[in-house]
Amino acid sequence: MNETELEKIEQYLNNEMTPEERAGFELQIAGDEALRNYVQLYDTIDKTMKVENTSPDENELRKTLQQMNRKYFAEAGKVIQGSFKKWLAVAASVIILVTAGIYFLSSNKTSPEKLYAQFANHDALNIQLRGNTTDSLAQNAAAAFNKRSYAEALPLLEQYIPLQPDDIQMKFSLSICYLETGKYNAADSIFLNIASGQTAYATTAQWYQALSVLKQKEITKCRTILNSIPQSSSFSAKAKELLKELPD
Amino acid sequence: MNPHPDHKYIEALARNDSVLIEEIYRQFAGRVKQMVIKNNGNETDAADLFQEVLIELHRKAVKQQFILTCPFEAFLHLVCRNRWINELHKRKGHTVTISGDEGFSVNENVAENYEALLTVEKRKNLIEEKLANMGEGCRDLLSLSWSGKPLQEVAQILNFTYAYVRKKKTECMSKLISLVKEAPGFSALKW
Repeated sequence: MNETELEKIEQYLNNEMTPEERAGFELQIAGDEALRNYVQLYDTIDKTMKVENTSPDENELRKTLQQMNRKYFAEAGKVIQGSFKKWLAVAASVIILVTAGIYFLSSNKTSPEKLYAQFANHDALNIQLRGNTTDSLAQNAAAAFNKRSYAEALPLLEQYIPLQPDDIQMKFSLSICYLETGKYNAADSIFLNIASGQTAYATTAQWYQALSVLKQKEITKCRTILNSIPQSSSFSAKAKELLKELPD
Repeated sequence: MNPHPDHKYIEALARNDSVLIEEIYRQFAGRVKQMVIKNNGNETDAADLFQEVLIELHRKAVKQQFILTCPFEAFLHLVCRNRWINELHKRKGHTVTISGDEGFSVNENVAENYEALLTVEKRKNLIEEKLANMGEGCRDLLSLSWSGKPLQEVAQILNFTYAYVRKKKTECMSKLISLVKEAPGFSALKW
């Protein structure tokens, strides 16, 4: 593909063409199989690699599944096994109470711990190899991080950062490890630093500032931070959702 | 290919239909629980596994228009089973075999559905592998452009003009595409 064609593909896929240009390009694609395949491949690579935020639908589904999990995986189900009528009656009332309890708990405001568990979905750490000695350290750190062994990932990241101080992604992951292991001061200072910077992680860091105070059960602070997340942030929808669920 | 009647379960996961989702739990959760408990797991592991697999199917349904062309039970069993093997592998640090497959025949059709589910992951691995071979300039620019930020913002971050970043992005993409196309496994991934 030459430069002009590449430029056109990018414009086309980003919806930056005028209706006339678009129609013209589509006509060109229709008559040129190689170009058509190329555009398709370009688009697939772009879509495959785009980091996507969790959709609101997915969070809704998660709620449904959590309810079902309680019902179908709880140990409480075993009570029904009694053979006497008396026991059946007792069991039935226990089930009613438990169900009512679950309903009551799930329909009311959830605790900060549960909210944190629900909202803190850390992105996997996909490292970029640099072809130098830090690679294996980075790989081990990422492997531990991605299986949620934050205590194990933490010292590896602490070793890595001084060697690659510009690696914001790794710095961010380190602060998540601090957060997960309860080292809030360390976590908060990195989040603050990144949130007030200009990198790609600034908006994410702001959202994590809110998650951190939520985990520390500082609801008022959490509300303030959430309210300060701008409409333009990709975390704006999540912030609103969490605001609704925060206990009073 | 035509969807299997059990495709209704995939649709139910896509639109969060709690009645059908409950049917999934009622019919299939028990077998998955047994499989996990028989193989070094507990009830919580089984619940986590089941939930994560259903979430994954939701994503495939919504974002990739996944069509189920085989019975749901055999398919779900295969996905859960392989995920659980991976989880055990991570926990133990060595490969494991698993028991409890009795009564599930993994015929070609089921295997094919499972492969379709994995295609996107495989594509991603291939792209990442090729990306790692590219220069740092391209790697940074492409990663930033995929981070969800508009290209204008990417330009600001990298301290380039918008026009330059655009041109550079298409150049990097063109390089990446040639690398990906040359890979031996390329055509099997049906881009």
